[in-house]
Amino acid sequence: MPSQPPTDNPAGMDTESLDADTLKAIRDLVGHLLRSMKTMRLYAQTNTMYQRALADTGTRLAAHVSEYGPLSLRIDRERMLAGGETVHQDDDPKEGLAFRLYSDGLRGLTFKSGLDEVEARTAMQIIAEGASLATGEDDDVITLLWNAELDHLLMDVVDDDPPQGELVPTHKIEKPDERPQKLAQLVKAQAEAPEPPKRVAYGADVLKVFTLTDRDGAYLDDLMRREQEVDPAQDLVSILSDVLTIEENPDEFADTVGLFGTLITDFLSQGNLPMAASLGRGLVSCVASRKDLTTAMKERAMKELLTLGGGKPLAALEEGLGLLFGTEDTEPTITSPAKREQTMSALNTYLTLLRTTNLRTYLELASRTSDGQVRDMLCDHAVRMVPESHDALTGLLLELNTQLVICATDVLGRVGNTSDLLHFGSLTKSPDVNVRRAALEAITSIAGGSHPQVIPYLADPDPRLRRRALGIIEKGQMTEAVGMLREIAADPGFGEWEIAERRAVFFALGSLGKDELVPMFNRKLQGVKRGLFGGTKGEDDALLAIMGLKGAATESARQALEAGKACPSEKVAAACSGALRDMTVVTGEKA
Amino acid sequence: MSDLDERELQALGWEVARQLFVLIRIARTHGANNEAWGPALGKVNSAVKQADGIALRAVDGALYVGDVRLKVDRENYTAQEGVIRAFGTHCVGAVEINPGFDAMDLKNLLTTWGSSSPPTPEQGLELLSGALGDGEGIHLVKAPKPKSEEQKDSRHMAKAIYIRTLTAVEDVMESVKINQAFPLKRSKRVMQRLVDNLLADPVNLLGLTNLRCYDEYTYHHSVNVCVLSLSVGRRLGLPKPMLAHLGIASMFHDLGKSRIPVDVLNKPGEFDDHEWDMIRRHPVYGVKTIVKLKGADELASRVVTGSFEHHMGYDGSGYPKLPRQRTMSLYGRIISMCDCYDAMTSARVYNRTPATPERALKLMLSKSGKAFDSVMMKVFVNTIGIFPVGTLLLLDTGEIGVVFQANEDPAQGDRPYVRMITDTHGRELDTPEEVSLTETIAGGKFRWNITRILDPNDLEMDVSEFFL
Repeated sequence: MPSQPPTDNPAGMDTESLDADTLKAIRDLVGHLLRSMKTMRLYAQTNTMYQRALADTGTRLAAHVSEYGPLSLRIDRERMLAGGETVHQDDDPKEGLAFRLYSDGLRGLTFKSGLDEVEARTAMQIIAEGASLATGEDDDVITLLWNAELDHLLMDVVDDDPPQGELVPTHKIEKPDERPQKLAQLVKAQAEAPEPPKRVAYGADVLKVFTLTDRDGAYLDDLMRREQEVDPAQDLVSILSDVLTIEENPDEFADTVGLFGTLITDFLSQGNLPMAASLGRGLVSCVASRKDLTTAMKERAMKELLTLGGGKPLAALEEGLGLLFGTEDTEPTITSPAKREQTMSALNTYLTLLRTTNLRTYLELASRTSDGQVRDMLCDHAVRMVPESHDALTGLLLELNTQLVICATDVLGRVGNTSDLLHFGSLTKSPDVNVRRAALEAITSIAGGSHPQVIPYLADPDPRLRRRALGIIEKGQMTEAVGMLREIAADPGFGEWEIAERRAVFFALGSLGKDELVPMFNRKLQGVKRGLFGGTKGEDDALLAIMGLKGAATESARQALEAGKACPSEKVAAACSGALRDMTVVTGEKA
Repeated sequence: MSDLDERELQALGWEVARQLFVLIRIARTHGANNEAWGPALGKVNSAVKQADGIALRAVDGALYVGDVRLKVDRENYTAQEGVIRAFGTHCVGAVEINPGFDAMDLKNLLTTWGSSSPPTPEQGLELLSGALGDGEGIHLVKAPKPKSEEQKDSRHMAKAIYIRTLTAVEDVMESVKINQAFPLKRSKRVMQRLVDNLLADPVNLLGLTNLRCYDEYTYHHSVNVCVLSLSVGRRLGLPKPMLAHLGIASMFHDLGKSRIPVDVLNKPGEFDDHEWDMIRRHPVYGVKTIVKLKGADELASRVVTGSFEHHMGYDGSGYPKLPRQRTMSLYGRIISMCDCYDAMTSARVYNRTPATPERALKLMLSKSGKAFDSVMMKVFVNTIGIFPVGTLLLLDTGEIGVVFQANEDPAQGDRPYVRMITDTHGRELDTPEEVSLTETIAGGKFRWNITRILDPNDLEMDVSEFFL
C-alpha cells in the first residue's frame, strides 16, 4: 500500500464536494466506526464484545465503499473531513482520534473501491488500537498500516524531508570533443570489418544456469522462513559474543565488556532478566574460552559481572528468581527456609536493579508467584508506578492472564477512585472465582464499603463470596439489596444452601427490610405453629423466619417472637427465646 | 559548431527554422521550381556556415539548436509551430545540416517533405531518408517515442526518493559521527517511501544506482546498496515489513566507517597493515556503534546484522574472522552481494577506473558458492540482468545502447531493454529511445544483436547521465 507525498490533491484524495446523501452516509459511518472503536478499547481482544465491534466496523466500512465508492478522509488536527466538509470533530482536542492520527503524521486516508471486510477490519483495528499494537520502537499507526500491506488503502503522510537539491554526479564527465569521433570510429570499425561482427549472446545452456529451479525455490523459502523465525535479541547477543571473542586490543576489549554491562543493565531495568542473563552467560563464556586474555582483561570482565546484580553474579540472581517465579521449563520451587531466604534476597536485589516505571513489569512478576508475601511486595512496587491516569492499569484488567488481572485489580483497589469502578463490571462476572474475589475486594476498598456492584455477589456461585458480600451489605446497611435477597430466598435453589448461610440471608433480609418484612416472617412462624409444614422443613423455615425477625429487631418483630415462644416445637420455641434475648430492639432496649 | 554566444546561436537557429518552414510551405504549394527557393536556400547556407553546422531539434514542443532552446517571440511563433508540426508528421526529431551541404540534397528533402502526406510518421521518415539518399551534409534524426506523463512522473519520483534517501543517510551518519544519536525514525519513513516506489516502479530507481559520486562516495554507496538490496528482496517476494528491515540494514551497513579517519578511507594508494586492520574492523565498529547508540531493540538488531556480516563471506572467508562459523543471515547474503557489486562498479580515489557492470558480475560469479551464496547469486543476476543495468552495448546496427532494464524472462536474459544513445552512425541522440532487444523484424530475426560490451571509460562517458 503506497504512501503518497502530500500535494494539493494527492492521488485518491477526493476534494470535490459531495452530495448531501453521501455526506450524511459518511458522517453516519464515521460516527458508528468511532463508537465501535471505543467499544474495542474497553474489552480484551478475545472478548466477544470486542470481536463483534471489530467485525461490525469491517462490514460497515466495506459496505459503504461498495455502495458509495472510494471514501477519502482528510485528517486535520481536531477533525476529519470528506469532500471539504467536517464529518467528525474530536470531543477532546488532545485525546481524540483525529488528533492522534494527525500527531503520527497522517493527513489523509482513502479506502479504495474493492476494499473487502478483512482489509477494512485490519485497518480499523490498527486505527483503534494504535500504538498498543506496535512491536517496534517508534512504530506508529502509519507504520502499522503500512506493514499490514492493505491493497485498497492509500495514506497521505506528511513529508518530513522534502527532497533537496538536484541529482547531479559531482564528477560528471563533460562530453569531450573527441567523444563523437570515438563513437563514430567505433561504429565505422565494426561496419568496415571484413567479417560481420560476432553476436554476443549466451546460449540456452548458459541462460539455464541462471534460472531458478524448484530446488532453489525450496532453498529460498527455507532461508526466508528461518529469517522470520530469528529472535533478533538473541541474534544480537550472539554477535556481541562473537565480537568479544575476537577482540584482541585491551582497550577495545574493555569497551566491548562495558557494552555488555550497559546492555545487561538495560535489560534488567526493563525486567528482562532472561536476556540479561543470556548476555551475562555470553560474557562468562567468552572469558572462559579465551586463553589469550591478560589478567587485566579477565578482571575487567568479571568486575563488570560483579557490579551487576548488586554484587551477586547474574547467574545466582537468575537461579533465585527462577526458584521463586519458575522459568519456561520449571515451576516455582521453594523447598526450604534456606531456599526461601535465597529467593527473597534475589528478589530484593532484582527490585533494586529494576529501574522501569512500567507497572506491568511488576505485575507480571507478581502474577507468576502464588507466594502471598512476594505478591504483596511486588504489588507495593507497582502501586508506586501507577501514573495519574489509571488507563494503563485498567487496561490490564482486560488481559487474558487471570493472575495478572488479579494483581492489577488488587493494585487498582489500592489506588483507584470511584470513576474506576465502571471497569469492574466484567470482572464481577468472570468465570474465575479468584478474579471475582479480587474485584469484590477492590470495589469495596475503592467505595469505602458498600457499593451497588457488590449486590450481584449475593448470588455468586461461590458461597464464600456470597457470605463476604452479605457481610459488606449488612455492614453498609444497603437497603437496595433487599430485592435481591428476597429473590434469592424465593429461588428454588436456595433450599440447597447450607442452613447457616440461609439464616444469614434471612437475618440480612430482616435487618435491611425491617418492619416491611416482619409479616412475611410472622406468616412462616405461624405456619409452623399451626403445623402446616411437616418435619424438619417446617422447623427450618421457622428458624429462618426467627433469624429474619431477629434481624429486623423492631417492636413488631419482638411481638412475633414472643408469640413464637409458644410454638409446639421445642426447638423453635427455644430459638425464639434465644432471639429475644439477643435482640436489641430499635428502641435500644434489650427485649 | 563554432564558439558562438547564445544570442548569436538563437539568431542563426531561428533563421534556419524560418527558412525551413518557408521552404516546406513553398514545396507544398508551388513545388520545386519556384524562384523563392534560391534566396531561402542561400539564407540557410549562410546561417549554417556561420554556425559551422546547425542541428535543429524539436523536443517537447520547443525547438533547440544544440543545447540552446530557441526562445519564442511573436515573430517566430508561426515558424516554430510549422516546423514542429512538420517534424511530427514525418517522425523527425532533428535535422542536422553541416557546412558544405549539397543544396540539391536539401531541396530534394524539403520538396519531398512539403509534398508528401505519409500515412504514418515512420513512413514519412522513410520517404525523407530516401529523398536524402547518401548525402553526408544533411542528416535526419528519428523522433523519440513521446514519454507518457506516467513515465515522466515516475522518473521524477524515483529521483526525489533517491535524494530523500541520500539526505536521510547523510543525516544519520553525521549524527552518529558526533555521537549524538542514531535517529532511525525518520529513516523508517523514508524507507517506507523507498519500498513503495520500488514496488511500483523497480526500473527507474535501479537505474539511479549507476550514479557515482566519489566526493560523497559513502552516502551514495549506502543508498545504492540499499536500492540494490531492496530490488533483490523484491525479487524474492519479501513482504513489506521485511523489505523495510532489509532496507534499513543495508542503508547503514557501513556505519562503522564513521570511526575510520577520512584520510585513511580516501587514501589514494595502498593501505599499510595498520590501515588495513582499521578497514577490516569497520564491521565491528558498526556493531558497537549501533548498540551503544540504539540499544538492543529489534530494528537495531537487524542493522547490527547487516554491519557485521557484509564482509564476512558466505563461506566465512571474509572478515571479521570468527573462531566458529556463523551461518550468514538472509539479509547478510543480500547485502554482501550488493555491497561488492556497487563497490566494484564505483570510481574511487584509489581506482578511478571502475569495473563495468558486466565485468563486476563476472568476477562475482566466479566467487559464487564461496564468497556469495550461489542461489542468491542467481537471484541477483536475475534482478540486475546478465547485462546489468548500466552496461553499454554496441549493436550490430552500429547503434549503441545502455541497458536500463533486465529481461524478466531468464530464457531471454541476454536480450535486455536498452536506451539507444546513438544512431547507426554513432551519432549521439538527443533523446534516447527505449527498445527491447527481443524486438523482431520480418522473418522472425531479431532487429538488434549485441556485438560488443563497451567500457564507458574508454569513451569518456558517464552512463548515469542516461538515468537522470
